[in-house]
Amino acid sequence: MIIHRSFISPLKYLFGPLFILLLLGVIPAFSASISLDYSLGFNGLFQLGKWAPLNIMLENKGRTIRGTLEVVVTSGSEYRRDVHYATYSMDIELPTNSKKLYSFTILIDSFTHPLIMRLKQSQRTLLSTSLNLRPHYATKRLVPVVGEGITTDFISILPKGVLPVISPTRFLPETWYGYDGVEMLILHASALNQLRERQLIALTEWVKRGGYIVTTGSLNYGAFLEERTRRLLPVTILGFKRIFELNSLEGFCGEGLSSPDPFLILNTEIDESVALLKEDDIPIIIQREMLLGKVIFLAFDYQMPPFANWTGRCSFWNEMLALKPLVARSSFDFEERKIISSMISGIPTHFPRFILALSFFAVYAILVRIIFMRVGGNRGRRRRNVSYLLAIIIVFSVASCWVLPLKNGQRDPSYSSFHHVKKMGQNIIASSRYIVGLYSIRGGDYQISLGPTCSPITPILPYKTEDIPLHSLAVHENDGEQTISVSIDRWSHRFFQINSMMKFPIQGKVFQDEQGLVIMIENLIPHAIVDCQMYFANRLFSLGNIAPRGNLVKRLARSDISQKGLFQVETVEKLVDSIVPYPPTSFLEVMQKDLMEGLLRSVHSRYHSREDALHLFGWIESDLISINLNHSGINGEGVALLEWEIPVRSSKEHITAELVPGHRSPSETPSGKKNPRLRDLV
Amino acid sequence: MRFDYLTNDTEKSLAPFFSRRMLDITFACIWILGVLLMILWPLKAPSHFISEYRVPLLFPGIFVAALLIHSYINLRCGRGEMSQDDFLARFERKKVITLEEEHEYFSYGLVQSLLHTLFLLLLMLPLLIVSAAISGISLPVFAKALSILFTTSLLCRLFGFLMYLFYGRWSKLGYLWTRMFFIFSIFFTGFFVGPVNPILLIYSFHRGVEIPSGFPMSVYSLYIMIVACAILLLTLANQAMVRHNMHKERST
Repeated sequence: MIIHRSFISPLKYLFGPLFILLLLGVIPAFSASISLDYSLGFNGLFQLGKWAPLNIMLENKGRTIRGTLEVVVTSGSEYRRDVHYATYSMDIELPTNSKKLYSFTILIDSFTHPLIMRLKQSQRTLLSTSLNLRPHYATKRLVPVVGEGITTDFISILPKGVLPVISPTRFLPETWYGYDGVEMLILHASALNQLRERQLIALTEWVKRGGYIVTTGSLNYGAFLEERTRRLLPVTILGFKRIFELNSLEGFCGEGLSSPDPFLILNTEIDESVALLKEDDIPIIIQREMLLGKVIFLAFDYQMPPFANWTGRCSFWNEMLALKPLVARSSFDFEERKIISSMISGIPTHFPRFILALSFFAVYAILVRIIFMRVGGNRGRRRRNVSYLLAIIIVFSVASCWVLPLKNGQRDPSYSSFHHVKKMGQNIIASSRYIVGLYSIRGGDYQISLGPTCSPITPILPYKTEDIPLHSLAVHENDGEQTISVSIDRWSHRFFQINSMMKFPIQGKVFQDEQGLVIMIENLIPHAIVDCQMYFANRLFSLGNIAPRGNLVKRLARSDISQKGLFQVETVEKLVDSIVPYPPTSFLEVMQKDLMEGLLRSVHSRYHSREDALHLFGWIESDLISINLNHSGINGEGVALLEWEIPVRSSKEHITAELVPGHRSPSETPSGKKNPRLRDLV
Repeated sequence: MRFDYLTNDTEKSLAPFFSRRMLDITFACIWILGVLLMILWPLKAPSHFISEYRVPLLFPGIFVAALLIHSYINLRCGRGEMSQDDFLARFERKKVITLEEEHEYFSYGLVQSLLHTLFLLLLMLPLLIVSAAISGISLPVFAKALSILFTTSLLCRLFGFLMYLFYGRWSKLGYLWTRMFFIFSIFFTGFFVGPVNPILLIYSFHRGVEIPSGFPMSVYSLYIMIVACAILLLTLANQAMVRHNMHKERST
C-alpha cells in the first residue's frame, strides 16, 4: 500500500500541471475573446442631423463567431415622448484570430442619448459598448484631410468657417451619403490607392451628386495609373518640371510662390477637364466636373516645401473652398403631412355599404324568424325545419365571408409610394424625395428591400406621438443590400422617406424667337410622363403625355401664348377640377387631386415674374424605386411627380449652341465632348 | 340520446330547444346583436381609421355582447329557468323530475348542454363572422374568440345546472349564486386576475396586443386551460350529483 502511494505521487505532480496547461490551451479556443474598437464620423467628429460613417473593428482571438453587429441610435426626447430607436445591423463572421472592419453609415440627430454598439449571437449579446456623443458632434461643416503625414500646421491654415479634421483613409464612408456633413475633401494622392473599392465608388457617387474633392500631384504618382482611380480622375502623366517660382498663383490668390531651391511640379493631362491656372502652359490647377460635383487636381504637393511654408497658403485654401460647386438642393413645397394624408386616402380598401349590411341582417333575421315559427308550430316536421335552419346558417356564414368583408382588404399589408423629383436645368442629377407608406389592417412584422444599393432611409414619425407606440427602425445591411424590418400594429401605418439626389435621365430644350416658343423634350426613362403642364409667362399650358423613351416637340405661336388667359390664383380650385376627374378613381388621380392645388400656387409664386425659364410638371404612374416585401402577392402603387425648371433661350443662342464649335450644349461635358453617360444611365 | 329528447318542450326538459319561449329569447338575442351591428357599423373609410391609428369597434362590440348574452342564456338554461311550465307551477313550486335528472349526466345532460350551447352559437355565427371580417380579424384569432365564447357559455351552463341540482328550480339562493357567478366570472375577474377574464381577452385580440400572463404560456392558452379545468370539475360534480339523486330516487 505504501509502495503504491509512492508510485502515484510523482505521476500526480507530473500530470497535474500538464493537465492545467492543456486546459489553458483548449479554453481560449472555445471561449469568445473579442475586442471592439470604433471610429465615429471623421476622426471622431460628425455633424448633427447629417449622415456620418461609423467604422467598427472587431478582433477575435477565440473561436469562430457568426453573429450580428448592431448599432443603436436613439433619437427624440422624453419630454416630447417621442424617443425612438434606429438599429443598423450587419451579419458578421469572424474566424479565429481575425480582425475585420465593418462600416456603417448612420444618422445621429441628438447627442443626448448614447450610441450603443453590440455584437449578438442568436439573441445573446456577446459584447456591448456605449458611446457618449456629446464630445463628438460638430456644428460646422467638416473638411476631412486624408493622406499620410498631415501636420496640424496644415490644419490650422484652412478656412475658419469650416472644421478641418485629419481622417485616416480606411475610415472614409462606404456610401455616398456618408459625406453628408462634408464641405470639401482634401485627398492626398497617396491615399487614393489605399481606398477600398466600395469607398472609391462612394466617393465617385458623392462627387456626382455635388461633392467636392481637392487632390494633389505627388512625386509618387503611381496611384493615378491604377485603372480604378482613373474612374474618378483620368490623369495622364506627361512628366515633371523643375521650377523656382509659380507666379501664376498671384492671380489666383493674391500671392505668388517663389523658392531659392528648385521644386517639382507634375505635368499632367486630365480628360474632360479645364485648367483653371497655368504656368508656362503647364496646368497647375485643373478642374474636372462630374455631373453636379467637381474634382480639383493640384499639380504640386501642398505638403512639401516650398508650399508647406508658403505665406499665401491661407488665401489659397480660401480660394479653393470658394471653388466648391453650388448645388441648390431644391426644397419640396408640399408638407409631409399633406402628402401622407393623401397617400393614406388613396388606399383602395373600402368597407361594404351600410345598406348592404342592413339588408344582409334583415334577410337573415326574417328567414330565422320564419323557421322559428315553423319549428315552434309544427312538431311533426321539426327535423326538416332544423335542417333548413342549419342550411340558412351555413349559407349566411359563407355569404358573410364573401359578400361583406373589406373590399381589397385581403391585400394586407399594402403599400404606396410618392416620389417627388425636382430637376433644375439640364442637370441629370435631380433632387429626390421618396416617401413610402406601409399600411396594415391585421398588423405584423414585414421586411422591405429597396434594391441592391444603400439609401439614406429615415422613418417619418406619427404626428400625435402621445398615445402611439413608436416602433424602432431596423436597417439590416448585407453585402451592400439594405433590408428594413418593419413592425406594424393593427389598423396602422408606417412611413419612411429617402431624401437624396438621383439620376433622372430626361433632356429638354426650350427656345423662343419672334414666332413663338419651341419646346423639345426627350424622355429617356422607361415610364410615360402623363398630364404634363407647363407654366410660362404667367400662363399654364397643357403638354399632354410624353411616351416612355419618347420625344415631345411642341410649338407655341406668339398669338397662342398671348390668347391664353392669365393664371389666376383665385381660380386654382376650378382649374384643378378641370384637370383631374371627379371622383378620383386611381391612386394617381387621388394624389393629383390633393396636391395639384398647392403645386400650382407654389409654381405661380415662384415663376410668375420670370420669363427666362419655364416650369414643367408631369406625373409618372409607376414606382421609380422598386420595393420588395417578404410577403408574396402584395401589390403596391406608386406615383411620381416631376418638377422641372427649363431655361428658355433665344433662338440665336440655340443656333449658336448647335453650330458654333466649343459652345456647350446641355448634354455636353465641359471639354466639349458629347456626354455618353446620359444614355448609359437609362 | 334521442333527438326527441332535444325537441321535447314539455316541463320534463330543462332547456327545450324549440319551445316558444326559448325561440323567442333566441330570436331576441339575434335581434340585439343585429341592431348593435348596425350601430357600430363603420361609416368612415378604412383609410380614416388607419390614419388615426384607430380600430373599428365592431369586433369587440359584437363579440362582447354575444359573450354576455350567450353566457347568460346558458346560465339560465342550465338552471332550468327556460323550461316550460304552467302559470300555477311557479306558485306551487312543483318539483318535476326532468330528463336531465333521469339519465346519467355523461350520456344526456352533458351532451345536451354541449349541443344547445353550440346551436345558440351557430345562430349568431353569421353576425360574428361579419364583425370579425370588417375588423380585419384573422382566421386564427377569430377561432380563438369563438372558442372563448363557447367555453365561457358552457361553463355558465354547467354551473347553472349544478345550482339547479343543489337548490332546485325555485330557490332564491340558487338564483343569487348563479348571478354572482356570472358577474364574478365575466366582470370581476378583470379587476383581480386579468388573464382569466374573457372580455379582456377579446379586447386584447381587438388591439392586437398580448396581455402578460405571468406564466410561460399565452393568456389565451392559460384561459382555455383554466376554463377547461373548471368545466371538467363541474362535469364531475354534476355527474356525482345526478347519480346521487338517481340512487336517492330509486331507494325512495
